[in-house]
This record gives sequence, C-alpha cells and structure tokens, in this order.
Amino acid sequence: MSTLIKNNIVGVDIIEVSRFVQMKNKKVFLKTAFSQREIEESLKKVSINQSLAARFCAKEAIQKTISERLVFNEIEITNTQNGKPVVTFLNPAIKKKYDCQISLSHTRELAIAVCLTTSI
Amino acid sequence: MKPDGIKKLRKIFLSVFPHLNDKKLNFDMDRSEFENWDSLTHMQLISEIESAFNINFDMDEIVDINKPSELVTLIERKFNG
Repeated sequence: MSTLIKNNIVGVDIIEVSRFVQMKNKKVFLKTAFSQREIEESLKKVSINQSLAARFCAKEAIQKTISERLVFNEIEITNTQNGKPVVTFLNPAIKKKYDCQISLSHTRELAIAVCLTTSI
Repeated sequence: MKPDGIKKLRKIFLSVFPHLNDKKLNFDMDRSEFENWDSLTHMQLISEIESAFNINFDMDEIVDINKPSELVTLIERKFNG
C-alpha cells in the first residue's frame, strides 16, 4: 500500500433537510453546531435549511475520518468565491494534524457530504 | 432531581423525539431504544437542556451519554458542584 493511500481516509454522511426546518430559531443549537461565521452565512441564504444540513453533514463526514472527538462549532465550512467548500479547523491542535477536502450536495430533501482527510 | 426538573427534562425529550409516546418514555431506556437518537438529535437534546436549565456541558461529559437517567445525574452534578 502506498503512503498516499495509507494517509488518506474517506468519510461520508447523509441527512434529511427537513430536520433543519426549525433550527434557524434554535440559537443554542446553532451555536453548538456551527461557528458564528457559518451561522451568519447560512442565515443570509434563501436555502437556509439546505445550507445548515449540508454543513452539519460535512462535519459528520469529517468526524468519521478523525479519531479525536471534534467540537462541531470549531470546524468551519465556508465557500470560495466559485463555490468550492473549504474546511477550516478553528482548533490549532486539530488544524496542524489534518487536511480535509470535502464535497457537498443537496436536493430539497437530502444533503450529502464526502470528506477526504489526509493526516499531515 | 426535583419533580419540576424531571418534568422539564421529560418535556425536552418529548419535543426532540416527537414520535415518542409520553407513557413509554422511561429514563432508564437505552439510547438504542429511541427512534433516531443520532448525533443531530443528541446535539439538539443537549442544547435544549443547556438552554432550559441554564447550564453548559463540556464535550467530554456529553459524548458518552447513553440514557436519560445519565443526563439527570449530569444535570444534578452541575447544580451540586
């Protein structure tokens, strides 16, 4: 097995968007699951529920690739100008250990995320 | 825990698990006996409890919670120091 394969782990997660319908009003939950920046960016979007569901899904997919227990509001999923999702770990100890590439998708009903994590 | 605290916690469980029958909710039920007690519902549950009881949990405290009675113990510990 090559080193490249050894150091990479894939995680996937899927979730129903309907489970996030009431979430925008649940401030404590939002602060537990998302960073302040994620909350602000998601609440600006027309598809708030899909945005929150996809981000939560991404965090679950990331958690499946990492042995340490992650604090969800310390993982930030943002988008570049062309829409590419980017993972930023706000915890420096995690940030220096892992690089995560993610892909997100959603329909009106479902959100899905795939994560490829490389141990640095 | 005092009866009003238990009542408050039952109410939270019934709102987070809307398909759960009030009569069937037993605090010794295992997590696997709840329909859909996954990571999202776990986080919802914890944030509802933090908000209702005005307390904060650490990640280490909540990650292995497996039944409602363990939450009762945890909440009591918060109030008793």
